[in-house]
Amino acid sequence: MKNWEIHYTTKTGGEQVLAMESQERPTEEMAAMHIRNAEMPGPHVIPTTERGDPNPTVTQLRKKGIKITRIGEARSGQHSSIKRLYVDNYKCLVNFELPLQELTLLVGPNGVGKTCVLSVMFALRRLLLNRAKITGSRIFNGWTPTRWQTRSIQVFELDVELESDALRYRLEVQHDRPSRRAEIRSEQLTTNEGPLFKYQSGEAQLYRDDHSEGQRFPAEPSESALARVPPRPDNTRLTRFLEFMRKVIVCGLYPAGFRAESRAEDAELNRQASNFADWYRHMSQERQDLVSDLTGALREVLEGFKGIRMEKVGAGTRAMSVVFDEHGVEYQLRLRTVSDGQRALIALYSLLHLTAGQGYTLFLDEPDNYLALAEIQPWLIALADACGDTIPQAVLCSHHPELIDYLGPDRGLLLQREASGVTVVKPLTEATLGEGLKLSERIARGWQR
Amino acid sequence: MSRRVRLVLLCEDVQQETFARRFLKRAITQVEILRVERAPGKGAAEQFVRERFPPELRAHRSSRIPLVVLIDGDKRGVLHRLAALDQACRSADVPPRRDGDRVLIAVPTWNIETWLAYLNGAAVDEGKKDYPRLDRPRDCQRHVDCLYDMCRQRALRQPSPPSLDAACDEYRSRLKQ
Repeated sequence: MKNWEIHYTTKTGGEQVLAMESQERPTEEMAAMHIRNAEMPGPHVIPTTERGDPNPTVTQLRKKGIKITRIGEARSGQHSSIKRLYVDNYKCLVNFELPLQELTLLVGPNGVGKTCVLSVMFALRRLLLNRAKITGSRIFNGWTPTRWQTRSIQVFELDVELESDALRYRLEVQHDRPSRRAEIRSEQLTTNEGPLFKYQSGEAQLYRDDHSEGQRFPAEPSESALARVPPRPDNTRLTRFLEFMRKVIVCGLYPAGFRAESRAEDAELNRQASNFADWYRHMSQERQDLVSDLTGALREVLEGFKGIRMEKVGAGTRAMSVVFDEHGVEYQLRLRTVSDGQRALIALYSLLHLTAGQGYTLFLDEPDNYLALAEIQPWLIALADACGDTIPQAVLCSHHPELIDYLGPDRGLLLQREASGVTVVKPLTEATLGEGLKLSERIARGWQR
Repeated sequence: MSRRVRLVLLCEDVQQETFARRFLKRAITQVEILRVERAPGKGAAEQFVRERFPPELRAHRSSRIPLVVLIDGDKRGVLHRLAALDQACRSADVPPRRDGDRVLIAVPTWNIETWLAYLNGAAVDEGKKDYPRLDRPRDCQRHVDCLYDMCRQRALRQPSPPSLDAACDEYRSRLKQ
């Protein structure tokens, strides 16, 4: 069965796709041979004068825009997204419902809970990947219940649609406020038709894909029992949910904290992207075919940008450098010596291009930080084009007028705290007065309904 | 240092923007960096474009960066909208669009959905306003590809909407180099 696609540009400038079969990702040499065979059927000894170079090198083929993708991979997770997040009794979020689209912009005054939404997603991801216990740092420890409430139970619900399979994950955390101790009270993964997983009172019950009862096992209330379920042929729906959560990236870029040297690859970008070089190293190794797209995009937006190098500087250690070519002079700068804004720009375009087609969901806190004014809208346009296509979903938080005016009319949600302390969510256009004014201007005037 | 904007797009809504931007990306090289000015939400979008046009035209004349404008014809049609934009310029003491200006004005009539229906193979009537919206604006890629192919052959499928004919003429005379 053909399982790989080789995309390339023909001599006449047309785009061509060839299918090929290979157990592993074909190398560029293999792809080059495949193209050569397809373009030049019959004996391969062809006079150069008739057909040009009969044996194009990989470098020449790269110039043709060669790209290798697994069949189906380009659309992997395309239709997987979070439809709704519900949070109760977590910091300033009380009985809080958040509907999400393919691309959503969260807007609102400071302290209303925008970043809390990202913190919840970050914590759920860490918990569900077994990276942290319930009371761990930045998870659901004793400091996280709402201060003006006395209730001891936190509730989190996540409605996701994974290729038209609608699932609901529900987590209840029981807090003992005086001692600041917490444990999982219950954890469930369900569909409309029935359960896939249930945990309560120290015991977890597995269900098969058809909801028939499966294995039962004891579990600790301090960590997610769901995270410990290994993949099996009869729990593919549960496994797909965990895989989906693995591909949620929650990040607020802090470029001054980016480490320039990478000691190892890291598949997980941390909350402030301080391990960006490790993550880039991993992603660019995993999907070398996407690096040329990233380089092309950065050349469009960053004057003189030529490429990124990961130079070996020690045993297993590589230093990330940015190569520029200005006025015919090529030079390279270590990541720590390029500006914060350039680092942020490189990271933002990396998030768009190196995750493409792999089912990643992006939650980004104030992505406009550090960018020059002229750099913001082109990135937003690229993101809006990618969402629902190469990236299933993105959620942004921002105060910036460029984001508010570009995304606000169709994708903006305004978070507002009511007198009761509850944060409510409304479409931005409906929630602001001053028709005819730019949305950012309405927000600047505080003309929220 | 960031790149300079190479084209300015002034339009009413996200569907117009997505359609125009994707067409321009296919038809013209080096328009990755463009600036979008879009009406701020529902209502008065036509007024937004009309009011933004004079300063954008003035900016075009000083920068020489091409300007692409999309404004719905509604029941008024192409000539009325062009006249209204000229009038808006005169009111703002800006000389109306001249032959040498690289300023394309497209007036989808009744609206962009009329063009999308035509590009989807339907026979359309510009006097009707109820052609269906796409579920998602980005679903217009196949419509863009269809228009691009017809443009390359310089032959819109007949009968074509007159407002699309006019826009193609504008594209050839104002923008294409």
